[in-house]
Amino acid sequence: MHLDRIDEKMLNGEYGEAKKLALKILVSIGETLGAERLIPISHAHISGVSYFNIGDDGLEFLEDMLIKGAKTTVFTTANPYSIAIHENYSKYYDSSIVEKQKRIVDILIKIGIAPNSFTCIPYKIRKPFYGEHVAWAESSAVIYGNSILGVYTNRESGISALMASIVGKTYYYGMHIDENRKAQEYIIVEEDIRTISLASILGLYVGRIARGVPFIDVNMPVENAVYKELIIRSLLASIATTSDLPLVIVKNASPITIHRDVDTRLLERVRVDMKELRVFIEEKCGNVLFLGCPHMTVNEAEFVLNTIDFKEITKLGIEKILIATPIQNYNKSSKRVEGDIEIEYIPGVCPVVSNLVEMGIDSVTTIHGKAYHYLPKLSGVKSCILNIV
Amino acid sequence: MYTEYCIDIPNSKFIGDPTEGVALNLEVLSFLGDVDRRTGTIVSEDTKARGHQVKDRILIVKKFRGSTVGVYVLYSLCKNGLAPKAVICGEPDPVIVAGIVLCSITGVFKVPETIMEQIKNGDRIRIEPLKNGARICIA
Repeated sequence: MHLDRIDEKMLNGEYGEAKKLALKILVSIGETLGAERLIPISHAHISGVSYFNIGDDGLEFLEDMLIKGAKTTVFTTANPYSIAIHENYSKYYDSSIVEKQKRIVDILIKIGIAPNSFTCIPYKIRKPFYGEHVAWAESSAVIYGNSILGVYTNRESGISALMASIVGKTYYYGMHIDENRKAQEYIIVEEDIRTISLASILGLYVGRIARGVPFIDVNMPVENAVYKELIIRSLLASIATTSDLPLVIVKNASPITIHRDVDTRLLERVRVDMKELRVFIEEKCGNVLFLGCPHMTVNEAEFVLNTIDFKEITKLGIEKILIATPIQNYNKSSKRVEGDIEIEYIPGVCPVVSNLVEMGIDSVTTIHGKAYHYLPKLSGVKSCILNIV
Repeated sequence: MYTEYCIDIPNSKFIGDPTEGVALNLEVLSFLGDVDRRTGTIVSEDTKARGHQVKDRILIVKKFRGSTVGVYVLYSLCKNGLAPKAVICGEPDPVIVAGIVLCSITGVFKVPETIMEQIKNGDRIRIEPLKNGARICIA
C-alpha cells in the first residue's frame, strides 16, 4: 500500500504508540482487502459501546488505547450505550456492570468522541455533505449514509472506525470507489409500503435474499416527510441486519447520481410478494413497546406517537412505550402517561444491546426489524413486530 | 490412511499462516448475536450449526450479516483461547477482516460458493497460500 511520508513516520512510532497501532491495523486491513492507498475522512462513527457487547476484553482494549495516547483527529461520534447506566434502570444491574459501562463512556469521551453523540443516527448530530468520505461503523448508519445521504463509507468494524478516527484516514476500498456503488440486481416489491413495520419485514427479507447491491423498486406513498424518512430508515436498518450490504438503491429516495449510469433493464429481476411476508406480523406480544431502532429524534418520536392509535394498542396489551433517542438537546429522561400507557424517553441508550432479563422483562413488542432480530440474541427477551405504525 | 484432494483457487486472497483443522459450515454468521462470546458456542439456529463450538475450527461461511461489533466478539474469543483457526468465505467483509487481522488468525477470501459447498461439516482440511491465491486440501 502506498503511504505518504507522514504515514511512514506514524508507522515508525514518531507520533506515538496509539497512532502507530491504529495505522498498522488500518494498513493490515487495507492490504488484505487489496487497497492501494488510504483516503482522508471527515467523520468517524464507532460502534462497540455497550458493555454487554464488548465485555471485559473490549473494555481493556479501549483502556489500552487510552493509555497509549489515543486521540481522535476528526469529528467522531459513537453508538448508544446500554441501559445499565440509565438513571431509572441502573438499580437492576450489578454495580460492577454499571461501573464498567460508565468507564467505557468515560474512556471514549477522553479519547475525543463527541459527548453529545451516543446515538446510532450520527447524521442527526452532524449531517454530512453529499460525497463526503467517512469511516462509519454501525451497519444501519452505514447503509443509510451511502444509500440516502450519498456519503462514501465502508461497513467499518467498531475497532477500525476508532482507528480511522485516530489516524484521520481509512483504506481506499469498496464503497469509497464509484465503480463499486452500482446496482447489481433489481428487486420489485409488489405492494405499497405505508408503515414502518412493513418496511421492517421487507428489509429483513431483502437482506436475506440479496446477492449484491440491489435497486429496490418500491412505492412508499406517504406524504409526510418525517414518516417517510422513518420508513426508509427502518427498511435499510433491517436490510443491514440480515446482510452485510453497505448500500442499496431505493427508487425515488436514493440520490439519482448514484444510479444514473446503471441500465436497470439489464439487471436480474426478483419479485417480492408482501403477502408471504405478512406472516411475520403478530397479533400480540409483550406489554412493552419499543421505538427507536435506529434511534428517533424527539420530533420524530412525537410524530409516531401522534400516529399510533392508543386505544388499539391498549387492546393489544401495551402498557408502556420506551423510546430510544439521541442525547442531543435532551439529556434527561422524561416520562408521561397517555390514557393507560406510560411513555418514557431513554436518551443515549439502546435497550437492544442491554440485558433486559435483569429488568424483569421477558418479551418486547416493536415496529423495527433490527430490534426484532437482535432482542432475543442480545437482550435475552422474546420479540415481535406489530403493524401499528 | 486417508486420501486427500486439493483445490487450487486462483485469485482468492490468503492472509496469515498455513493451517489445518476441522471444517464447520455456516450458512450465515454475525459474530455478535450468533456466537456466545464467553463460550465460543454458536447460538443461532439459522446458521445451521447451533450448538457447535468455533474453537480451533475452520469456519466456512457462506454469508456474513449484521453487526459491526462482531470484531470485538472475535477479539474476545482470541484473547480467551476460543477462536477459530481460520475463516474461509466469499467476498471479504471489512468487519471480519478487521477481526482476523487483530487476532492474527488465517483468512481465505474470494472463495467461490461452489468450492465452499464441496467442504462438508467435519471434513479435515488444510489451507495454504499459493503465489496468486490459495489451496484447500480436503481429507
